Amino acid sequence: MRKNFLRTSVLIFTVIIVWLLTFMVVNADRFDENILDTQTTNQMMSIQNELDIVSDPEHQNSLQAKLNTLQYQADIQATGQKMAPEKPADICASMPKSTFVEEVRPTGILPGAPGPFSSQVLKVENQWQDQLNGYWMHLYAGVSGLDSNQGGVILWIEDVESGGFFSDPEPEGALTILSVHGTRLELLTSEGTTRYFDILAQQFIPDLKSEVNVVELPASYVFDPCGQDR
Amino acid sequence: MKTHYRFLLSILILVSMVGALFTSFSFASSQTESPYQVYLPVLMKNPHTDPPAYYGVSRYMNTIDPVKSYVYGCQAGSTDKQLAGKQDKIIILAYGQPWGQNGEYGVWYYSGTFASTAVIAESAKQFAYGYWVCTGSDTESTIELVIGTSNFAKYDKGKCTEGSWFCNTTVAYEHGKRWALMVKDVSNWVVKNGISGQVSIAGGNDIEFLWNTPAITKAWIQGYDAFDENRYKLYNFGSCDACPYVGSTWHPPANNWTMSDAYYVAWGAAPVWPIPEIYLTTGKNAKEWAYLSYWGTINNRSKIQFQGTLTQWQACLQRGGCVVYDQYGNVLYGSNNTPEEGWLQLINEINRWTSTAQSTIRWQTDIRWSP
Repeated sequence: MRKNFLRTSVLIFTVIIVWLLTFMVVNADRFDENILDTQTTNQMMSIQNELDIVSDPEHQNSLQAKLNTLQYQADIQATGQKMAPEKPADICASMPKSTFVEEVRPTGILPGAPGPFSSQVLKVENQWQDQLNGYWMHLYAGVSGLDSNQGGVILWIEDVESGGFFSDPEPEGALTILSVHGTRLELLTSEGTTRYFDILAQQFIPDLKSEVNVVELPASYVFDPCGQDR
Repeated sequence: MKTHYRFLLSILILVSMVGALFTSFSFASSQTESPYQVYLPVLMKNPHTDPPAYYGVSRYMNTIDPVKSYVYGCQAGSTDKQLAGKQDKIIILAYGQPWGQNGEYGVWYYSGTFASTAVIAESAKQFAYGYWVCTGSDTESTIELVIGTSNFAKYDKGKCTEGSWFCNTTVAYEHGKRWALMVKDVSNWVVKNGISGQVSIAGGNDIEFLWNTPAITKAWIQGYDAFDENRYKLYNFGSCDACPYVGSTWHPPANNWTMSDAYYVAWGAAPVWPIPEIYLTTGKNAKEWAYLSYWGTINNRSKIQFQGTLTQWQACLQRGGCVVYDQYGNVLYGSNNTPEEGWLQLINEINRWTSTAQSTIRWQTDIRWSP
């Protein structure tokens, strides 16, 4: 009697587990879909809840506008999914023809512009840019946005994964580029002390006569889906 | 009898385990429920879901060449096609500081020349098209493509320098307006070409307090708001510079910004949605943004709904040097959070208070230098 009870229980138990596992595997994609739909829906519900609580009319209008934006976005996405045309088979044939002509770039020392980084990393005082050894190089001088004493420079070399952030070895506030001596820059700290930076060696140097090794640049890599350089 | 008890106990444990398994799926993804709810029979539910499995690759656009933009979009599409299942990502294209020239509006982009909104629009369209084409048989994955500028101008002793353009509220409003019209143009093009099922278009601005005044920044948002027809989101993918946080002494944000200004550009203004920079490994960025949301809830405003987090882990790998050391070689701080670290820092901080809690943050994106 007891044996039968155990056997039956184990059987039922096994069936339930198999059913659960099958359900999870079969519906794996559907769960993902649900998450997406649920996210937008919940977002709208959450904003609606906040809308009910907030009493300031201006803030209410703002939340209502956010709801309208979400609704519009969901609508055009749903329509787009229904009406999507056939995709071209040849991804290279879809590539636009290259007619782009870049404007002539200014070179030398330029007023401070934001480089490709946050002000948390470097608050720029000024910059230098030019072509060296066939590469466009940009050097931004300034101070860390997190430490007003920590001067430094960022060297960005286009199309090559090299360069980087170089801290002033003896920090004295923001650095500003004063002049160019070939491939070396003369900079000034906010305390008025001179610094030198060798662009090709990618390092601060004690003076313009110092001899340092040039950093060898790695080959540039550009993803090219059509297997040719562009 | 003993065997029966043992059997019942096994059933109970198993049911608990299966229950726990399911809470990590969509059942636990509601943003409206408060955290720390306990689910019977046994286990306590995690206050938030796991981070998204993959991050979107955002880019500092050092080029506006449509061919390269197509290639970048194609690269993002190919990646999503190769990943199993439907992907859902946000990708920011950061084009540079706002600029005007000869009656045209656009950006002074990173290569050091001017690009008009028409040229930027073409670049964004080609990115969107490249993504759509290269996802191929994957017709379900989606991206939200953010066309971004910034609030940068160069100041010297409180005055906008001669080499800057974004220096007053009039040009800021007009630039915001032109940016919204450009976003509308790209979005309409995406709809017209049948790719809106996979690509949504939004505007973006890297708003950093150290870069400009609140008046000029807010004027830009107002210009955008006036012409976005309540249809096109504006993502603030900037920083909350020197914002107070739990554990700090109270101080106002940097550069004469107030908490009210900070809240306005993060969530208060109608078109704005935040994708904050969560760079610092110390967790300070996450704490600042979370406290800003909390500040809203105790000042007659709503909590901020965070859509995603922005990290610069790839850019740090590309350029190195995102870690600052003291004179003894000890790490002081790093700004190289991985996408997952940034996401976890923010969600943990906003779940510090019930009033600011979210059970998930939809996206994580990480910026790199092109290529």
